[in-house]
Amino acid sequence: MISLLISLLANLWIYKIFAISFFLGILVFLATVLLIKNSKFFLLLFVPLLFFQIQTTNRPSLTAISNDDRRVIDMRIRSYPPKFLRLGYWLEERKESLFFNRVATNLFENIDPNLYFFSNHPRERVGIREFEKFPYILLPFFLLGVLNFVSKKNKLFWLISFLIPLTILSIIGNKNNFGPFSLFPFMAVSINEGLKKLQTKHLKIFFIVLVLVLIQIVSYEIS
Amino acid sequence: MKLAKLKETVLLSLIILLSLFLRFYKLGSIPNGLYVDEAAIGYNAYSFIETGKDEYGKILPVFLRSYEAYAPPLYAYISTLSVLFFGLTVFAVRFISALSGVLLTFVVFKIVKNLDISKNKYLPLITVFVFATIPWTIFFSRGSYEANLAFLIITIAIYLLLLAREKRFYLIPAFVLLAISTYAYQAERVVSYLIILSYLIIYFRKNITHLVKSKEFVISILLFLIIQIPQFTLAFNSSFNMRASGLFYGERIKSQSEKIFLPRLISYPLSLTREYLSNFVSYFSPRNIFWEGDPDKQRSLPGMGPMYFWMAIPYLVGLYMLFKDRKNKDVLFIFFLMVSFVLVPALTKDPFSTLRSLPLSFPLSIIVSLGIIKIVSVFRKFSYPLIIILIILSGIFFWRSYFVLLPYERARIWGYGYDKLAEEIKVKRDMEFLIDTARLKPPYVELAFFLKYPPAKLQSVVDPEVKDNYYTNTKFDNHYKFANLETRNIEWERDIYKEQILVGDEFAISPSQAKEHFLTKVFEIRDPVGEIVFVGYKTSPTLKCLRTNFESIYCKI
Repeated sequence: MISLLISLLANLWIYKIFAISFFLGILVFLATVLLIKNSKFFLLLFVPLLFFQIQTTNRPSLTAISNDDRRVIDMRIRSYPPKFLRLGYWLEERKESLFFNRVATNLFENIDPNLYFFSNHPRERVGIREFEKFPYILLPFFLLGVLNFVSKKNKLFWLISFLIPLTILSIIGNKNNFGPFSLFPFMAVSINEGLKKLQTKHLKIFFIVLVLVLIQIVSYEIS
Repeated sequence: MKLAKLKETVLLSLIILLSLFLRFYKLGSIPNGLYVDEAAIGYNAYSFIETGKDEYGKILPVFLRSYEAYAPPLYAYISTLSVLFFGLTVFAVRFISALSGVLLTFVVFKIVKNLDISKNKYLPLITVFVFATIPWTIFFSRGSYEANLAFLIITIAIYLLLLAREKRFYLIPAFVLLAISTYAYQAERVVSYLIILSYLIIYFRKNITHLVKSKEFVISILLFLIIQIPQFTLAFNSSFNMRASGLFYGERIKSQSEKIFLPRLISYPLSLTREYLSNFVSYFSPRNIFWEGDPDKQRSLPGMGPMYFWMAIPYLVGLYMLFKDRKNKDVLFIFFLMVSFVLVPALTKDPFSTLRSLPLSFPLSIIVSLGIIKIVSVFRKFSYPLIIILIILSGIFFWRSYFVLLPYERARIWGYGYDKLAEEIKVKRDMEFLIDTARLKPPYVELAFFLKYPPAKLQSVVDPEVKDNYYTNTKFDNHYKFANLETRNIEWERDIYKEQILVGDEFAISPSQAKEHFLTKVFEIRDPVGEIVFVGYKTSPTLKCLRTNFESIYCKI
């Protein structure tokens, strides 16, 4: 129960979602609870969650070429030896190659642990307002939870909660005021799983550190 | 059995040949240019050959002062051999690093062969293939990076440490090499201790007293400390931590801690913890390792990370495999090495520095290889054609990034154009040149390198104050005057009244300044993109004085 409360409520992300949209906050909260219980009703809430993720994200084209892109592409094509110009065109200008690059960028941004635990510090992105999500003290528990889940047999919903949002986010991008919130249930559930390993004799120290770190990240977020 | 051994030897030889090709092909021309640190190493090696002293006239320096770098000197000392053999050329300066890269592939094979972390007999070969072909190791083998030489030394030391589990004698050369590595790269001053500590904790925790009493261990520790005495004597000197202190993110921690609504006694450690951990974690983030790479353009490839993007999947699988087998001592050792290689770079303010964390490429190659083996064992039918496709794709992406884009768009960052500027200076030997240093990294050493300026003469123009206080006077003055050139900022009120050629980058001398002061463009050097790297303007003091009615006092001199 304690691990559930910590993973669900001891983070700034859920409050940010609630502050901007109460309805979305409820949806994220309930989806996470249902995923923790490994209930099939999770899928009922997960689908609208994904829908909101798509709707609230500013989706730039994956193949459009801006003026600056054009400048870089032209410059790069000029660097190819004449006999490889055709290959250069394939690698630099073809829509497939632009699509691949942008999808991969989105994908790798979404699987960066620094995004979820350090507000993307030390590599903040240009043009995106980074914000604090989970306190960094929960990172080891998240990793432990993931490793535990991988060893489990019954992990279908957990896998779905990771792979489907990740695929969608890779395509639609990361320009969203709430962040990649469709991954919140996966993150919280993995942290919850890891926290179960926390021994009761260490609980007091853990709480003190957690509170201090929460004060720290709240301070950062406010300033 | 013999056939299997032969097969392994043939495959290993092929991988080493590939490694040799990837590290030496067009080594003198790609990267396109000569970075200032490379020039400093090369010129100091040349200086050692010619005079037995460095550019400041110091015999056997413990740190190489070059401007204010105070870099470990080993690379420059060893480069004397390649400079002696090939002459003072770009190839000669990069030779030791490239050779280290090739030798590393072999040492990595020997290490993995000595580790009991997988039942699969191909793990050493797969690891060495991954290691030899990832952009991370190729890139740093193709520039004169001291870190690559240090990497080779500590890797041999690790191999010897593994042998010492059976024969204690090997502790002695291992500890000697670890001590020597501290003269090869700054981070190794800490990393070497961490390696020893990890090794003792993992393999000798239960019989540490027995080991400590052994004569091999005592000799090893003594040699380890004796070799470092020259450094210890300078430990409280500003030169010892000159570089490190400038890289720590102290200011950032201070400003962050001031934001926290808690007393300073708590807020400062909290701020430090978050800063450190965020840096530490970033070294294991797939985003950095497999896609974006190092943000420093001089230490990264255009459009690709230090490892191939598809390796992110075997990396995650490999990490899981490592976790599952966490009670295995060899697995623990790999894990400890991984942490040791990141503990120091995470203290510096550059995020994800692939140079400082270069040895991390070794455990990561093992992890990726473990992942590949696991994936292949699960998806046997599909995996072989897929792997062949991925290898071909990786080859194409690497060729595009390293051999096409890097020499073109990163030439300027790599110090492109100094060889051509040196040529201009040589051809116009009757003219005086003034090189504007406002936006340039110390140009004197680049020009001394390409002009092959006699080191004894350069030593004679060094400020005697700097010479006498080599380790304590850390201030660097960019003003040099040798041959027919001078390096400093242009002083417009004075320099236009002297017959000379003013040289700068595209912003140093504007067209309106050229018109106002009757300057005549005599040459321009452009990078492959077409942007001006250097432009030279000849002054016309007589014309300037005539047109300004001899207003300036410099007209009367």
